[in-house]
Amino acid sequence: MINLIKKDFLLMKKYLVLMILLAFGIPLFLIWQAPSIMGFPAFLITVVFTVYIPLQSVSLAETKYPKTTALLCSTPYTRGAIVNARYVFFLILFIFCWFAYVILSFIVPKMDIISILDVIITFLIFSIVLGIYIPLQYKFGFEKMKYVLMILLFATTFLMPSIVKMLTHANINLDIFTSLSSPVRYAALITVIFIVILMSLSASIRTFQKKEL
Amino acid sequence: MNILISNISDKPLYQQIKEQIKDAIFKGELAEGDLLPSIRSFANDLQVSVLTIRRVYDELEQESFITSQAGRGTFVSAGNIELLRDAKRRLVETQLQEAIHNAQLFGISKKELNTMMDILYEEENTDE
Amino acid sequence: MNNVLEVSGLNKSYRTFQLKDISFTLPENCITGFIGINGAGKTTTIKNILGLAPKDSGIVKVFGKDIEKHERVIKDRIGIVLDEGAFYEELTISEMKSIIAPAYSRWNENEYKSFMERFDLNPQQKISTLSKGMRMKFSLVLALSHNADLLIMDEPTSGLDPLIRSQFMNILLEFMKKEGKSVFFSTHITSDLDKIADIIILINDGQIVFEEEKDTLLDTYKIVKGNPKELSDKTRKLFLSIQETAYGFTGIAKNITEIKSACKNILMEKPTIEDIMLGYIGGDNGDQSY
Repeated sequence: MINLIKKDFLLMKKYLVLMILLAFGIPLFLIWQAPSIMGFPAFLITVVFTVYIPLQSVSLAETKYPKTTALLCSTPYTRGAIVNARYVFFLILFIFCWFAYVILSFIVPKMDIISILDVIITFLIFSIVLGIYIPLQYKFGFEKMKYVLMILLFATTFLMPSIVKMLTHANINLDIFTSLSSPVRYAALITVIFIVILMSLSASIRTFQKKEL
Repeated sequence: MNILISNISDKPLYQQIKEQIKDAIFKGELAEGDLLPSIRSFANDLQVSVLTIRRVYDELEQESFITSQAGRGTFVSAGNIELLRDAKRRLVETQLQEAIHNAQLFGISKKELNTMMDILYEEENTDE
Repeated sequence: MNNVLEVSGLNKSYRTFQLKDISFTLPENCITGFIGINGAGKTTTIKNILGLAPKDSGIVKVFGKDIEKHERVIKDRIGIVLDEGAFYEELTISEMKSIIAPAYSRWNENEYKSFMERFDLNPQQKISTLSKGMRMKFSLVLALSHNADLLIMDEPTSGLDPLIRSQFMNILLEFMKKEGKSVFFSTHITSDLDKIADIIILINDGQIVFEEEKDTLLDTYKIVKGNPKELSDKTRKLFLSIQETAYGFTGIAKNITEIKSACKNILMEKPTIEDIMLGYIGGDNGDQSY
C-alpha cells in the first residue's frame, strides 16, 4: 500500500513545492495580517488551504485517467487498498501541516505553540469535512464535486473568523465537556475521530467496489 | 524432413502433417530414436496451432510410430521398425514374384535365375 | 490438460448493450484470439472477467479458482495489457513502474531491465511523450516482468504498424515457449491471428458465435468461387455468406461436398479468419453484398 500512497504524491508532484510554501507561508501571512486569530483557527485555515491543492490534483488525475484506475484494479492491488492509501495520504498531509506549524512557532517569536487540544479539534473538523466529502466524490465524481470543494474553501477562509467570534460569545453549555478530566476529553475526541474516519472509509470503499471502470 | 502443407487440399491439416511424418519415417529420413521437435516449436515453424500438432503426435503415438517420454521429448519409436521391415520386405517379395513369374514365362530356369541374381548383386556392390 | 480460463453464464446489461450468457473455456498452453467487430463486446467481456465491472451473473474461474474468491492470488499471475491510454501522462516510465511493480509478488527486476533495453525504452522518459507503439511496448514490459502465467490483452495492437505487430507476435511466441503459459487477447485485426492463434472465439452483439480451434476452422470452411448460374436457392442456403456479381460468385461455406455435387465448375480456397468472421457477421445482417 505504501506504493499506492506514493502514487498520490506522484500525482501532485507539480504542486509539491507550492504546497510546502503554503504550509509555511499561510501561518506567517496570518500572523502578519490577522494576529488575532492565531491558534486553532489559523491552524485550521492553514490545513484547509494546504490540503486543497493536493486534493484537487489527485482528484483531477483520477478523472482524467480512468483507464489507469482500471489498470490498477486489474493488478493484485485491492480496491480497498487504493481507497485506504488515499486516506493515509491526507493523514500524512495533515501531519505535515502540524509539523510545519510547530517549526514556525519555535522560529517566529510572536507565534504561540499550538496546543494538542487545538490540533485534535482541527483534526476532528478536518476528518468530518473530508470524511463527508471523499465518499461523495467517489460516488458522484470530481466534476460535480469540485464546486462543493471551492465553496468549502471560501467558507472556511471567510466565515471562520465570524464563526469563531460567534462561538466565543455564545454561551454554549460545555459543562459536560469541561467537567471531564483531561485524558478522558482527549479519549472522547479521538474516539469520535476514529468513528468518523472508519465510517467514511467504509462508505468510500463500498462505493468504489461497485464502481464500473 | 520436409513438411509441405497444401492450401487447396481437401485433407485436413493434421492429416497432411501426420502422413508426411509417416512418409519420412518410412523413407528413413527419420530414424528410430530421432528426436522430434517440441510441439510448440514445430507448431511455430509450420504456422499451425499447437492443438493440431498435439493431435498429430497423439495419433502417431497411438499408432506406435513415435513415443513421448515425459521431460525428455518425443522420439521416433521402435514400434514401427517391424512395420517398416515388413513393408520393405513385402516390396522386395512382390518384385521377386514378378521376376519369377516372368522367368517361368520365358523359360528361364531357377538355377539361371539364381546366377543372374548373383551377377547383378555383384554389379550393385561394385557400383556402390 | 487444465483449463486456464473458464467463463460460464456471464451476463451483464448496460443501457444500450448486453452481454448475453457468455461462456467459453480456454485450455492451458494456448494462444486464444478473441475476435469481433468494434462494439461486439470484446472489451466489455474482458472487463467483466477481470472484475473491473460488476457482472450481473456468471462465474469466472482462472487457474481453476473463482476469481471473486481468490482475486489477489489470481491477479498476481495475470499480465494485463489494456488500452494504450492507461498510464498517468505526467509521470515518467520509471515512476509509473514504481507504482505497478510492487503489486506483484513475483516481480523480476532483471527481466524488466532486459525488456526495457530490448524495446529501447528510456525509464526517465515522460509517458506523455511516448508514441502509441512505445506505450504498448511499455504495457507489455510490465505484463511480462512478473512471471505471469496468463496474459490478458485488450486490442493490444490496434493502431500499430505491421512491423510492430509482427514484433509483438514474436514476443508472444517467445512467451509461450515456457511451460504453462497462456495468452488471451482481443483484436479486430484477424490477420495477426492467422499465424499464431490456437483457438478463435468470435463474439458478436454481446453473444459468443463460436469457439473453435483455428486449424479446424480453416480446414472446415472453404471459399468457393463459381458461376452464379449454377446456384439454386437450395444451394445458396448452404453458404454462410455469398456475393454474386455479373462475373461470378464468391462465398464461404462448410458443406463442401453438397456444393461440389450441385456446382460443377468451382474454385476452392482456404479462407482466412477474417473471411470466416465476415461470413458470420455479414450473414447476420442479411446484407450479402458489400
